[in-house]
Amino acid sequence: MSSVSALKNKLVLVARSGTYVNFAPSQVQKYHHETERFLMNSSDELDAVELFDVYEMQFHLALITSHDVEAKAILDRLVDQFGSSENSQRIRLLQSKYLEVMGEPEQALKVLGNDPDELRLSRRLTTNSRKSGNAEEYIANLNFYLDLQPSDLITWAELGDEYAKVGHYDKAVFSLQEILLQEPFAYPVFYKVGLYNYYRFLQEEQALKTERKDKLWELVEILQDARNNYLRSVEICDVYIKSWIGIYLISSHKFNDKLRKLNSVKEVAKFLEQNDKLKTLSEKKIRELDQEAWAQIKQ
Amino acid sequence: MSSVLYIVGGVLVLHAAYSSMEFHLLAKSMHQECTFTTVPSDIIHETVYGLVLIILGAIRSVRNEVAYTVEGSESSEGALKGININVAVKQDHEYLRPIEMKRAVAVSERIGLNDYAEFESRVDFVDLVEKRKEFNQWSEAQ
Repeated sequence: MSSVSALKNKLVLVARSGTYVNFAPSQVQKYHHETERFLMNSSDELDAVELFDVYEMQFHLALITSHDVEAKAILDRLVDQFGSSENSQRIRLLQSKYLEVMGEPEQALKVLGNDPDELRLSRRLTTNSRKSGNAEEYIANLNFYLDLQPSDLITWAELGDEYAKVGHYDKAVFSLQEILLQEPFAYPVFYKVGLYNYYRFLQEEQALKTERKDKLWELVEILQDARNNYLRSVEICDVYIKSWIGIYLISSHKFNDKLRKLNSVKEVAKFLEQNDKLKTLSEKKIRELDQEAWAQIKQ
Repeated sequence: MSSVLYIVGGVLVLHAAYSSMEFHLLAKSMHQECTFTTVPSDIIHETVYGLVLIILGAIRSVRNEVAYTVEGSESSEGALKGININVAVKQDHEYLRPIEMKRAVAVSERIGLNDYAEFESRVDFVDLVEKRKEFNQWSEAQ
């Protein structure tokens, strides 16, 4: 396969996943240049759907990198191509984002409208309350939206992360589990459920003042939940290093030493025994994956 | 490559079909004197070769290709220092993806993008003003 074809596949994949919005600034710059060059020299390689997906990505990258003229040119081209923006949520969303970045938030809201049937525009509408810096208001808006559209998994993911930001890890876990009901093989979501359970454990361990058995057992249950979710994640994808690191952290946590006092309880003894096995296994796996990653870079 | 096989195979099959039609027209016009009852072997051979080429083309079209990683890597040598280089990932299997999910998703992980990336990216919720600010701060620091 030619390098142009491999590059095309990479850009289309990144554009469709939307992962470019989470890139570090250096990577944003790199992708902006790469996509610009590709569209200039090899846009014939793309079919119509791929072309407009890549244009949409370039629009976002241009806005992030302050290439406002380029962003406007892409937006105009999309409007020219697809006619009246009234019929297309996708174009109205881009117009609204452009206006928002240009410092016209009221105009941006006006473009979004108020129709609850327009799913993507309604999603964007909820982000309006984020500007005030009031996380609770944003969470309330997301909850209100999810009452209307309970099967919108992307919004459950957003709500989960917002709850985690304010330290409500139990609610964050609940939100992410809503995704798992519909996507039972989403191993990155299993990892996140494990991670938030682990954070919840750390939060509660820090607040723990006594070493009463029932309190310690509650913590064990949270930690067990975290471990089980990490394990489910590596069961689906055994090269997912983040989950292996999570397993290693749990199995080598100093809380395990505290638990040795409760070794007489059958469940605790079993939990500790499993942790000992997992510690060796996860350590070995992390080393293996690390070596593979280095080998790939050296190639 | 697969499209070349499709074209050549298709041409052979079409040519064989046309030859067969000619043969039948000839057979009809000579119905009394005609002693042959089956299609000549060269037409049958041409059809078989054409179909084999089409099948080979179809098999070749599901071949796993080299893919670039999302992250890439930065060159640290000579004149190319600091320039980003695309890193190619080879697939474990030559054709199709493995049936076992654990092995199928391993390739996506090596590329750096899984099927569930949209739960992490959430483009509709992105705070572009914040992202732009972050980028400008980084840019000024360079």
